[in-house]
Amino acid sequence: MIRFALWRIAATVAVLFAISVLTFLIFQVIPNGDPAVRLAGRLANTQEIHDVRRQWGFDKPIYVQYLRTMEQIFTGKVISYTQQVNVLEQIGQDLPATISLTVGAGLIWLVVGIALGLAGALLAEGGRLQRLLDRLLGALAMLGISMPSFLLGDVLLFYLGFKLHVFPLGGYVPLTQDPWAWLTHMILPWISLSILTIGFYSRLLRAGILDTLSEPYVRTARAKGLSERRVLIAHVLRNSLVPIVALWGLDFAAVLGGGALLTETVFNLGGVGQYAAESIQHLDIPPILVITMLTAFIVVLFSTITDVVQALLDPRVRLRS
Amino acid sequence: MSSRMRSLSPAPLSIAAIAAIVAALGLGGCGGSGGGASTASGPASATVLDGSAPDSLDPQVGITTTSMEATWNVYLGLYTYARANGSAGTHLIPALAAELPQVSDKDTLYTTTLRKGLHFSNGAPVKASDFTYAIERAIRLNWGDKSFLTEHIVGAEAFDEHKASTISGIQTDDGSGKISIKLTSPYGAFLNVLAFPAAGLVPSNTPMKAQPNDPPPGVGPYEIEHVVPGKSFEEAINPHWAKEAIPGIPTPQLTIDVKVQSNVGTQADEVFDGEADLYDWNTPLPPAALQQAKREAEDRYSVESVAQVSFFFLNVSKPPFNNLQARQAVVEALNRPAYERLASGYLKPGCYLLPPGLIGHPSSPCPYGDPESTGDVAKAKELVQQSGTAGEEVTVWGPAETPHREFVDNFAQMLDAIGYKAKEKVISPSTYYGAVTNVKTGAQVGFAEYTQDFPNPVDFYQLIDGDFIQPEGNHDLSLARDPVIDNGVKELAQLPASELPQAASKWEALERHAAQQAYVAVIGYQEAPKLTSERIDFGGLVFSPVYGPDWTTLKLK
Amino acid sequence: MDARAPSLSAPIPRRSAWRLLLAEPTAIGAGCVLVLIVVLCLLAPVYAKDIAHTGPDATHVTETISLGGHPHDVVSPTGVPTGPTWHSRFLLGADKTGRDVAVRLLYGGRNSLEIAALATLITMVLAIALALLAGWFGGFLDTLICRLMDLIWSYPVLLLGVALGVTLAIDGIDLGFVTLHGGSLLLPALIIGVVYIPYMGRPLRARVLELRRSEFVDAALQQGLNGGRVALSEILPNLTSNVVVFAPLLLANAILLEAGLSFLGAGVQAPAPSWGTMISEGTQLMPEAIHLVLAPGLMLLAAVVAANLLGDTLRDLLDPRSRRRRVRASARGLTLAPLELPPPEAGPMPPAEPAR
Repeated sequence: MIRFALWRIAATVAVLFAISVLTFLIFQVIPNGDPAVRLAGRLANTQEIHDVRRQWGFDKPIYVQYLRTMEQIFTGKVISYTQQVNVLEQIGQDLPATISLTVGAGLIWLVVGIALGLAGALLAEGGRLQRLLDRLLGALAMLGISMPSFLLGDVLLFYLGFKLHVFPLGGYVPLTQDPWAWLTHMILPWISLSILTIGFYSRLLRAGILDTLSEPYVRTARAKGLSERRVLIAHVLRNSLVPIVALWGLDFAAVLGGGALLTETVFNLGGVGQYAAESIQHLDIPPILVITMLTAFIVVLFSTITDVVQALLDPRVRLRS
Repeated sequence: MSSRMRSLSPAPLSIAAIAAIVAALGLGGCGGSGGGASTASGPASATVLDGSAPDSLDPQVGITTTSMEATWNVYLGLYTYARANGSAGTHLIPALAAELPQVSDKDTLYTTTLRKGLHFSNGAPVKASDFTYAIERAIRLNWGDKSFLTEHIVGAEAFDEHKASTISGIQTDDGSGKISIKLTSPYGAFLNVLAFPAAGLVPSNTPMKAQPNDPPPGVGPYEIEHVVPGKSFEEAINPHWAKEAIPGIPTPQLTIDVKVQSNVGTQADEVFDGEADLYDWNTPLPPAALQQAKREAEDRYSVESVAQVSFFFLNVSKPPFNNLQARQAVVEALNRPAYERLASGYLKPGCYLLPPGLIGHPSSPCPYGDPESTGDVAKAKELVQQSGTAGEEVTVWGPAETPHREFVDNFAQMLDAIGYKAKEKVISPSTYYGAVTNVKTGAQVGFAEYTQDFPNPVDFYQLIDGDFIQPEGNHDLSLARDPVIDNGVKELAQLPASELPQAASKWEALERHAAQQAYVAVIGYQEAPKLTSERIDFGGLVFSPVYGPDWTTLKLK
Repeated sequence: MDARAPSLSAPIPRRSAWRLLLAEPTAIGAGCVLVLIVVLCLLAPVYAKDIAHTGPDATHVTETISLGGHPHDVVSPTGVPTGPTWHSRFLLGADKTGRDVAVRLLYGGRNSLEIAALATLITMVLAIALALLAGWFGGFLDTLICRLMDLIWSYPVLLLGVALGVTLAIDGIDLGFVTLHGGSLLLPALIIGVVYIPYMGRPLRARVLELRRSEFVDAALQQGLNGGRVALSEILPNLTSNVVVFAPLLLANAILLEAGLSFLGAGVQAPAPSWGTMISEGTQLMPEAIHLVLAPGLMLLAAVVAANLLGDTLRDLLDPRSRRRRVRASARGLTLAPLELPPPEAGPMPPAEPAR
């Protein structure tokens, strides 16, 4: 266990290091992307640009700039180029929106995904009508995994927001300020973000259950006279949930770390993902660096957690190092 | 298959899920404490919307119109603009100075006196030397327009280059409040420079570091509080303001909550519904909201002119636009009403560099075609043929933001139609100006817009003045070096602002010459929406031609 | 991290796979839809010239069209474009710059599909090459390639894509042997292609490792054949069915990612259309002109669903674990290659990390 933990920590550090270097390099090669020019203002002269370059240390060798930025990140002093605000504070302010989005959508896609997957598997074993329903669910799932979240978001916003005025037109209201407004603002983003994952989880679970049902040990369990319900829950569902749990952890982590750029932008949630999207548009390197590292960190963290959960759920899975 | 099974306990899964949620909410707790509900006590408040956050609320850093709109009522300098609509709002009045300056020594020495008994919003008394400190601070913090200071004030450049510890050209006497400023050469727009919020006084003990989240105290009707970067801030009424009684500057009645709302549709809805009180004039109303404004809000919606010009620069150092006929063809073929539509109607077609309303804007007809016409493509085609530049490849540069990218689409199509092979280069707005103002980029044609720093024709003429060509941060994007313009501007720039009306005919002559030479293909002048909620006294809200709506004049009906 | 990486197993003879595929109505339907979309998009110049009488980039801002005898602004004075006219001109309406949406939809489809197809090709070629190198030579090379793929994998897909797209759009990239200009379609294709390498590279590498240990490879090596040649002649052909399964799924993902990149302004460069850029432009004019979102959106959805369906069916047929395959095959009286032991996780192939 200790070896496993140490190995994971070392791997995380390595991933974060590589990602930060890569990001820094990507933005360093931009021609005309000189942040000094932008910082100096639109009509600054050569002298002023030079001053800004010196002031921010852009005249230093790239590895010095990299080390300086990293130092600033880890001492919590990193400042963005465009607004010149503390990036970590800014992310702290954006987190509630992103967390609201992630937790809500994560629960929805887990619960609905499992429910639909289970329903599909049960229907597939049933009669003619049931099988037809199963195919319908399958078609819907296929539509779900083919739908870009921003398209769905746009369409929902248009019909339910602009036309029918059922939901607000995007934006985020803190839970602590007005719980009801928070909910109404979050429902459409949750749906847009969940559909794809629901579609996928339900397909994965359905196939998993059907595969497991044909396993010899399930037949044994049935032969032992266990109730169908017990067989299904204790044996089949438990095994089929293993890959779902693993995926859920990763999906949850990716969105939590600001991975939902498109959804957050369409609904103007002002979360970490939208901050990332805006920073990229402005070629604002410090927030991009911090957010990519944050996302990677959360993903690695959650994949470790899910590995542990998986090992507990499934005796065949061993923690590797 | 292994049949080694344990009975399923759901615990691990749900514990992990709960742990994740708890962790998430825990994070939410420490991040979500920013916005507090406004208290019921104290003066009523109005909510002002901004389409984008101010670049900085530190007066000696902020450079965008959004910043200056917020800071010009917080950081008064020696002079400020009259709080009035239209051209009356371009007049300079004394603010912290007791009177307009005495100008002597061949128009290079400005002397004035500070008003008596002034206090900063934190209660500290204002000293004459605080003025020097503010100017020094703007230079040290690399304020984007600091060249207005370093180029004109004696010793400011040496201070900038760390060769002097203070600016030798500025002399102050804290006892008598006397301030004198020595210029390197006569500069007619110097009072305009002193009216920038960046020249607004801050206490001499303000750190020599940008303070965007906790802006320093200033002298003005408002003080800035509760800054949530990129999201919101408040302007509360300065408790010491009532005692100052500076004539010409209104005493505010409402505190201001400023909220950033980047979605223009939502912005408009909030104002229509009364959730917010003032729409951001920098963002044109989206079409649906525009129709709604015309239909339901006729009494609280108007279109205001803001001295701004939109144009395509034509690089005269490269073919094909080193050829006058080629440039003429472009201007002839411009379909300006199309750009007006692309800008949702917020663009007034025109052909001169100086916007209407500004001294020097000619009343004579445009040299190449009526700006209200959809352009004469046939004639332009002929001109291109005659110029011998037909078939040349032209790359049109533009920023990737609405409606400018659509402008570029339309412009490139026009170039194709008159006989060129046009390509587009539409790039991120944040790198665009850096790219085209770098002479090495060598952009042939590109979109540019210019909003005045101050209402003086000299400010616009740097756009085609050969003396403003520089390798980086170039102002003269066309790279035009026309002795008529360069010398004309040099002479006119020295005239003090008070003599500007008499020089109008000289500026007009320069304007006609510039339009004839077609260094830039002017499309028109951007206009701004003024839209308030129902409870605001719309007529009473002053719209300054320099800094937009004056928040001190926001009143409830 | 491995959970998302799909697993593959033994191939089946190609001819029977074809016959199985042709017996699948869904596959035929999906294939027809895909072909139809491709043909329509290829006919874009014909439609533009002979039906709509305009080009994809031609602007008609101040023009009017006659609808039922009445003149009608293509773009209103306040900047709202006309909706679908259901006539030959502006069949699906105009966009903000007065361009014909139907014409742009077809040309945009060409760009979207071209990028997606190129990206798929790039992913396949690079993933196969890396998988062969890593799986065959093992050791340090294997570790290096695996770490590289891990790195791409743990980088948030959309962030990486947009970051590359925005930065490269400005001045292109000089790869030494070829220079890509800022506006080149190859640029987004390259970005998408690289981003999805691990999605395909990891399972392929596992498959190469598996084959490397198989008897027929040992036999070939014992005959004294050169190692590299064995890799190409014995292992590469055995990857075919795996690659075939990936192709449509990759295509679907590439179309989606291109749309996502373009939506954030990092895809196809102006004035060239693509479905993603069209949706993005439409979003900015949202309440007034929903047709600008719906037209490219539905087209994109149709293409992605068709590609996904095709990939799904292919996988069902080629995956030895699939129940459907066994049922179908026995119904057709075909015999299948002996099945290998299934890997611990079963089920449909996970999607590549989505652009959300």
